[in-house]
Amino acid sequence: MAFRPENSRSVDSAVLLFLLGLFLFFSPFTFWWAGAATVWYLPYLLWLGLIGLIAWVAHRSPHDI
Amino acid sequence: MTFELGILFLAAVAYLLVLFLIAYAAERGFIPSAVARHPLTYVLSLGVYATSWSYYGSVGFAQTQGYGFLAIYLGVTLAFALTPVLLMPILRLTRDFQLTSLADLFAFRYRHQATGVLVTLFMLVGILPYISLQILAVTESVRALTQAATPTALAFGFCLTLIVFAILFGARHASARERHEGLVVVIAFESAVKAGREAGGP
Repeated sequence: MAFRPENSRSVDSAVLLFLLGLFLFFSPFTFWWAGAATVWYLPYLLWLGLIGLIAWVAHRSPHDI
Repeated sequence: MTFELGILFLAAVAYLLVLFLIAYAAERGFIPSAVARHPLTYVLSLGVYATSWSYYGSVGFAQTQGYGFLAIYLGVTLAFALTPVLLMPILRLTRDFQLTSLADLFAFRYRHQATGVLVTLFMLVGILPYISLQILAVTESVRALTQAATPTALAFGFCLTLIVFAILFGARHASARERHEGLVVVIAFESAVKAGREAGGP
């Protein structure tokens, strides 16, 4: 079975984004910002920012399916 | 606000007809591919993740758990963050080896037909309660809107429509090369309607 070599940069970016998402939403840091949140839409802003970053990384990655 | 059951039924049939027409138009190529294959269409089609039950479930969950209700959506967002690691290899595998379902994928990986059968059975057992919840959500919505007793006939009609839709626009073309354009476009349209409704306020 011949797998094409992955673009290591896009893999690195994907894993970093995943870790960033975990850190933001599923870590003790989450309780800190959720407790200190001054506006109700802060989680949605962070979520939107994460989606934007994912879209940007996906757009830069090669589309060789 | 209450509605007559008949009016609601006619409205549902009219909406479904619109959906059928859009799916048919997309399958036949009447909708330009610039629209049907636009990235935004695919993004909107991901709205299939937010079902009628997740709508009810999320509202209830948000009431009791606060921001915890976002976890189910954040999880899938993170899965998409891992696209080059998680989704692309699976997509390549399915394209290269013409695998059309999860059962195919497992049967291919473990080189045994029994694995495929087992995966299919597990998926069936897993999905049945979920589909039941969807049907329950639709019938409960109808009951809330009409103040009538649970309309079992409507639930049955809903099941039949689902089956027809799945056969016509989903399972009819069992090929890995098939893009299911009709299904994608119609789900994107539905998501746009839902998003427009939500943006419109109460």
